[in-house]
Amino acid sequence: MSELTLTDRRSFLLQAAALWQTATVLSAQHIHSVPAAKTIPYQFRFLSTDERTTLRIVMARIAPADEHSGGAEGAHVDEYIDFILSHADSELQAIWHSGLKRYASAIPTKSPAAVDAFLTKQALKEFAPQTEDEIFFMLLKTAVVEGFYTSEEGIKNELGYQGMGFVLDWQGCTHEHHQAPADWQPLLKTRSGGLI
Amino acid sequence: MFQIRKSPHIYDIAVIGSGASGGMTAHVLTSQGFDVAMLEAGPMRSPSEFPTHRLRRWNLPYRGLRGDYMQEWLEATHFFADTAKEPYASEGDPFEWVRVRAVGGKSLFWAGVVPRFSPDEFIPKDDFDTRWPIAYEDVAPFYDRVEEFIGVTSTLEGAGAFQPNRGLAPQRPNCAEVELKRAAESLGGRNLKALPIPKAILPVDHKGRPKCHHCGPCWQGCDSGSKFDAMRVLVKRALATGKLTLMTGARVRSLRMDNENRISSVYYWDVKDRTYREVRARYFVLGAGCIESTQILLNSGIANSSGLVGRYLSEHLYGSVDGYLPQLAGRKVINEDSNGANIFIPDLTRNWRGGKFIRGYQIYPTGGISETTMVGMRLPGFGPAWKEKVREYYTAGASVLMQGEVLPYRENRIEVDERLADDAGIPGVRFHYRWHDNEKAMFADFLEVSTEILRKAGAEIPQSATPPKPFAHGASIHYVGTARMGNDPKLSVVDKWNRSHDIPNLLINDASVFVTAGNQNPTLTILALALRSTEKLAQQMSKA
Repeated sequence: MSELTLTDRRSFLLQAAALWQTATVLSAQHIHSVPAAKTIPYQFRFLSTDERTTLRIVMARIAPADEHSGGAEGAHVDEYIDFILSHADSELQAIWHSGLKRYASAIPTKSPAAVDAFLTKQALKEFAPQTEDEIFFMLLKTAVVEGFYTSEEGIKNELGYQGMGFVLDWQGCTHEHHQAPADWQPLLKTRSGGLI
Repeated sequence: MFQIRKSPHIYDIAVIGSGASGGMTAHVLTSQGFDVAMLEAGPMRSPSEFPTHRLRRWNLPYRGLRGDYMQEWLEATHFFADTAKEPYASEGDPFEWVRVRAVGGKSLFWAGVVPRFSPDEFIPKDDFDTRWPIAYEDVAPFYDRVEEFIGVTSTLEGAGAFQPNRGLAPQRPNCAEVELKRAAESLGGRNLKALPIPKAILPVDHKGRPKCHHCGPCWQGCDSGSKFDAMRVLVKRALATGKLTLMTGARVRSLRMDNENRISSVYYWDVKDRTYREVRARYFVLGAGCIESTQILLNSGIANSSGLVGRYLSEHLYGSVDGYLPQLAGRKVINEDSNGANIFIPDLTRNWRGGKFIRGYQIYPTGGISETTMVGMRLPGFGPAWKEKVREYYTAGASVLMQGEVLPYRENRIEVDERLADDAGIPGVRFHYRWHDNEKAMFADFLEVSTEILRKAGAEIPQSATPPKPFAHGASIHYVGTARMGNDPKLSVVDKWNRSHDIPNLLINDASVFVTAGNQNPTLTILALALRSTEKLAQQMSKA
C-alpha cells in the first residue's frame, strides 16, 4: 500500500471522480432503448470472478441484508457496478482492478468481522481520503449508494417508498406539528475537493 | 436531389407545431369551421406509450443518475429528437435544448405549472430594454378563459403584483412544504408569501377529463389526461370537428413566398418516406416552439426586416439549495408524491431589490418523501447503523428552488448553420447565450434567501464542496423571445396580435414573441396569447 504525495493524491482523486461520472455520461448517450425485463441473467462484462467475489463481500458489509431488505447483494449492486465500469475509461477500470486486488489481499480470511475491521479503518478518512485504499473506499461507497438506493430492492424494500400509486384524495399534511427524533444529531459531511 | 410532392389542395390555414400554441390555434380555427392543416415533426403517440406506470427507475440502465433523469426516460422511449440525426451546437457553455417529437410537443411532459404573468412583467418598472405592446389587462380576459377551459388549480389569492387566478381548488402542501411555508412567511423584512401552485392538473373532474390521481411523475406523461396536454385537450378536439388534417412526421424546412410578398406554402421533409413535400394554404401560423419556429424563419430568410429574428433569446435562471428537516426525520414513510410541488412563493419584490438587480424570481419551497435518496454518501461509515441513518434522513429532505428572469439581451441569440444540417439537409441551430451581472446578482440573492428559509425551518444544510451554481443554460425549457412582439416594425418581428410586420399572412403564436421571460412559467401566457391572436385572425379571415 503506497502513500501518495499530496499533488498525486489530489490529481488521482479528481481523476477517479471525474472518470466515474464521465463513463456514465458518455455511455448514456448511446442508450436509446430500455433493456429487456429482468428475466435474462446479467452477463458480467468487466469484473473477473475473483473481483466479483471481493466486491460482493465488501458491498454486503457496506449495505448488509437485514429485516428491511436484502441489502446490496439482494439488489445485485455488483451488476450495476460492472455495467458502469464496462463502459468506463480504461484508467478508471485500472483503479477498480487494482483496488479490488488490494482489498482481496487485505482481507484474506473474508470473515465478516475481519472485513468490518478493514473497512472501518478505510472509512475513518472517507471525507478526506489519503491513501489509495481510502480513496478506493470512497469510490466503492459511492457506487454502492448509487446502485443500492436506485434498485427495486433499495427503493421498495429498504426505503419503503410508497409513491407512484393511486391516491383518490390527496390531503397533504394533516399533522398539528412535527417533532425531531429525541436523540437527533446532525451528521452530514462534505467530501473534500469537489468529489462525487 | 429529392422529388418534391405538392398537394393541389389549398387549406385556409397551415399550422406548424402541435404543442400548446399550435394546438390552441388549431382548436380555435377548426371550431369556427376553417379548413386547417397541422404539421408535426413527430408521430401521434398513445398515452400508453408514456413511461408512467410502465417503467421504473431501476429499469433505466443509468438509473437516471447521470445527466438528466427526464432525458434518460424520454430518450429511452424515443420521445425526444435524436441529436445524432438532428444536431445543434452552442458557443460557450452548452445550451440544453429539449425537442419533443410527438403530437402535443413539450406539453406532454411538462410539470403543468401555470402562473399568470403579473402586470409588472408586461410593463417592467425599470428602464432596461423595452416593454410589451400589451398590458396585463389586455391578456387577463384570455387568462380567465384558458383557465376555465383547461381546468387549473387555484392560487386562492394574489400576493404583491401577482394576480389570483380562476382555479377549481387549491393544491395541498405536504409536511415539508408546511414547514418551509411557515419559515418563509415568518422571515423578518422579506415579505414572502407562499401560495398554492397554480397547475393545469385537475383537482376535480372537469369537461370530460378525470381528476388527478396523484401518481407522481407528471413529467413522464399523464396517463389519465388529468394534466393538460395539447394532444388530448386541443388537437383531438380539433380532429373531432372533421376540419383538421393532421400531418405527422412532417419536419418543416421553410416557408415559401409567392411574388406578392405572401407565403404560399410550407416546405417540409416527410420523415416516413424521406421525401420533401409542400402544403399550400392562405394563412400560416408558426407554433413549433420558440427555437424551432425561429429556425424555420431563419431558414426561410423571411419576416426579418428588423434583423431581430433569433435575437433576445431568454429563459429562466434555476438553482436550488437543499437541506434536511430534523422534525421530519425518521417518520413513517407515506405516499407524498402528490403531483410534484404544491406551493410556491411568487416574486414579491416589486423591484425593490433595484440596488442589487432588476426584475425578480419566484421560489418553490418543496420536499417530501421522494423515490430515492443519495444522502448515504454524506453520512459517515457503513453497515446497519449507517443504513438506519439513511432511512431517517430519507424522510427529512427539503429543497428550495428558484426560477428567475433572465433579461433579454440582444446578443443572446440563435443562428442557423449548414454545418449542423440534419439528415434531411435542414440547417441546424447554434446557440449564443450567456448570463450577465443581473443574473449573477439575482442568483446570489436567491442563495441568501433560500438559506435563510431553510435555517429558519431548522434545516441541516449540507455544505457543498464547490460553490453552488445555477442549472445549465436552457435547463428551464422555457425558451422565449426570438421573434419579439412590438409596435415598431424596426424593433420587433410581430405586432401586438402576433402578426408578422413584414408578411400579411403569417402569425407567430408561440413563446418566441415574448418580450420578457418574466419570472413565471410561460405556458399559460402562450395559450392566452394564441387564443387572443387566433380569434383576431379568424375575425380577419371571415371578413375577407
